[in-house]
Amino acid sequence: MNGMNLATKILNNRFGFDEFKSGQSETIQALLSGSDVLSIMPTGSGKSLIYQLYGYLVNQPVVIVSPLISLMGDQVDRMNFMGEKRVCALNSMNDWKQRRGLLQHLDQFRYIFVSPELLSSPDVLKRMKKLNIGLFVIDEAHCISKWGLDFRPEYLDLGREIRALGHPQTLMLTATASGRVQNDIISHLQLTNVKKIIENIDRPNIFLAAHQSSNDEDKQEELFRLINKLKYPGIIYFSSRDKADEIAEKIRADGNVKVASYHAGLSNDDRYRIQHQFMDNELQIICATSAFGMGIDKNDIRFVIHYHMPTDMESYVQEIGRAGRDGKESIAIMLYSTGDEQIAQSLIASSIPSDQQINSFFDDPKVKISEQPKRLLQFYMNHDYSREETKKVFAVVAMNKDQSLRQVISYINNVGCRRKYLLSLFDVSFNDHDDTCCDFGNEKFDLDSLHLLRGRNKNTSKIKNDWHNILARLF
Amino acid sequence: MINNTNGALCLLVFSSHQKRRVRLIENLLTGKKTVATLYWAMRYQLLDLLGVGRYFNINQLEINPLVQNGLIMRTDNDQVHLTAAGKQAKEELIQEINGSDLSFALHTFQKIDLNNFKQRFQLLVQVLSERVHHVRQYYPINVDGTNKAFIKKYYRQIDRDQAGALLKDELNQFLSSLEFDRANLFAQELVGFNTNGLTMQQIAANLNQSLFKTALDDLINYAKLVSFISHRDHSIIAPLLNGLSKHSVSTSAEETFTEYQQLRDLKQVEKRRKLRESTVLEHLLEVAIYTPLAGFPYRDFVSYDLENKIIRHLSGIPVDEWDYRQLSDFLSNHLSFFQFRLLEIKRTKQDVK
Ligand SMILES: [Zn+2]
Repeated sequence: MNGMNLATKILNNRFGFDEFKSGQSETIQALLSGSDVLSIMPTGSGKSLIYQLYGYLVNQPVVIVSPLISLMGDQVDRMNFMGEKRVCALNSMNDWKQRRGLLQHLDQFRYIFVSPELLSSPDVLKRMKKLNIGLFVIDEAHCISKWGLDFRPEYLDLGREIRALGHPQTLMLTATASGRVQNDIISHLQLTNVKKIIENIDRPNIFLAAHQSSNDEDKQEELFRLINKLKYPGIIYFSSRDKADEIAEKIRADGNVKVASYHAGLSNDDRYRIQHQFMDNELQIICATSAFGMGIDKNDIRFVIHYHMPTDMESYVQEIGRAGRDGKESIAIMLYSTGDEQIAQSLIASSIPSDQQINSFFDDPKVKISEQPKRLLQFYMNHDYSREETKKVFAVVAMNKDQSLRQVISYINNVGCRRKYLLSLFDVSFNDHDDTCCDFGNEKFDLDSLHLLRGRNKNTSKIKNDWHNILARLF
Repeated sequence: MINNTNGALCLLVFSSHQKRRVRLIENLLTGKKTVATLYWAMRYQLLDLLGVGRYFNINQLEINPLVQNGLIMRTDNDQVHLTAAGKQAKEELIQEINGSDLSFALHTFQKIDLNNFKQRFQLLVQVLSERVHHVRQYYPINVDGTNKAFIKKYYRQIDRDQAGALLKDELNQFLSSLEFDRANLFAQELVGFNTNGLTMQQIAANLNQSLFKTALDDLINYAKLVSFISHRDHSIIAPLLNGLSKHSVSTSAEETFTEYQQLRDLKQVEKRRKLRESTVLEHLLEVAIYTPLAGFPYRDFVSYDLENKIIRHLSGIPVDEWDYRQLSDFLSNHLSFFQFRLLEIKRTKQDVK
């Protein structure tokens, strides 16, 4: 049986699917040919299935480098849920006892998730070397690129680490990467024989719109106008936890809809409950912060509204990509009120060390500055960058981020087809604008004709919540 | 008036008649067990709050909003006290949360690791609930690895076909013993078959009460559950308490004190325990703080004469303001800081009487 037939058989037996989604089979085929692969597939297209299945195929351990700890935990949960128990996650959430236990028994796991920080620690790398790694996966590979906007310095060490591990076959995964970023990824890792699989990032079933208000009050009014009409379920993105909490509370007080806020401030207990309530449609709206990934796939999300603009279009594409994974009509709306770019600018500024911070850090590495810039500066100091070189690096990062933010603003102000503009940023051309595409020439777009107008409120059967009922339901 | 958890906790830990140190109370809430923290917690009569911050996910007190609202007044060097308005807000709060249940719960919290007990219990409920309905594929709730392992092992030991029914029966009896709202709170948080559970915030909103009161009620519920299962034979929940007892005095301090009682000689205790002198003295202070007045041999360390001299020297100064550095040279030459602190502990216990 050839590799692809075997892969399809595993797909049937292990995952219960009849056929691959587009991009999956191409990527697996490219891996089977033995080369390293860079695969660009939109969120929700089943990237994790690729490495999971390939692990079964080659029957060797798979190591997945992943930047987001919360997503790592969700990924482990999901694989456990699917019946694969030999999964672990090495990250800063482990206490030392756990970590020692995991490292001692590393060879018993088939799927090892690891944060870039931990992978660079010598004892972890030493253990990894002893494994006969079948596939080395870099998730969110755009983080490698200086152009990539979630720039994480630890990712820059990955090339060195791949070589230290004897160059196992490598799969780079990302949802969105322009040509420039693609080249950056490959050259940073110093890989030579890389096949690229590029899936179209366009999601034709998502209608694109933006709305400008002159102040926050008007923006809120527009938000409420929208959520009173739109089909559920939906996500509203915010750039601050406080605002997410505040708006969630306002929506809740309105009383028509079940809503919760969802962000990194939640306890594990709350996170679990809210995720699963949303999955099971017990919640209709989630007010989320963009910094926080949502771990569980939900394919019937009808709208994604940005209350605050993201800092770059790559994030925007990822976040609106949560809508309409079932292929049905959905909508992505960016709300803007005058001055919003300042919120984004200050978010960017706080993520980049200032010259003053660089100076005081190089004068005394023990100086008190906030966590994020400190981590970055520590990295450059450990890699023997001089003070001036470090300043240059961050000047470039600041410039790039500023450029990226300007793309977001251009998207909001865009005259013409929004989809055309958005796709052009990813080197994709598009000329098929019509009334189901975006709000260009269609500013007062009609939700009814877009099939996004909510019908009469279905009386959601009220779940009985007194303790007798709950006990009866549980047991 | 104060409806956020952090603010409510501030009201609870500060006082209108005693200036209290913010940092010390934060250390107390996060469970940092240094002698200084314990000593001041005893002075503030807050020893039962040790580690409670972890339950509320709070390790820093947000004082500023209460200062702006005129409920808290800052004095010099990191000390604060409640204003008259703050005192009133505190009284209202205590009325709302039913003080006697609360002190029972906090007392239990010091004896039993309720955080881990709750994790184990909720996971057991989920596992058995799914089992009753023959569901094999589900997402387990997020609990620490050690608790997960504990439940896995326990699950293998019990009669799995009976366990669901037993647990249901036991919960039925327990919940019947609670007030209706409190029982609902307890049940609404549970996760299992076709049941995602509600967050504390959602439950608070349903009950139309503050998050803080809801979280406290929850703590009280779990303290009551512990007491309920401790009085039952063949409880299916009781084995979850294994290894979760907490001791006020650390084992090593306990051992030091036992050695001391036999040897009555500090140098020998140091040798026997292979500890530095300072550690031995800290152990003794820890024991003194947690032991009733008559149970600790104060006279071994501070003679009657010396005590009188000090008391005379410090007469009129409240114990809270005693300061070792301000003793006269003569006295401090004859009195170590250990002895001084021991005297402070003794005076505190005498005053409380
Ligand atoms: Zn268009």
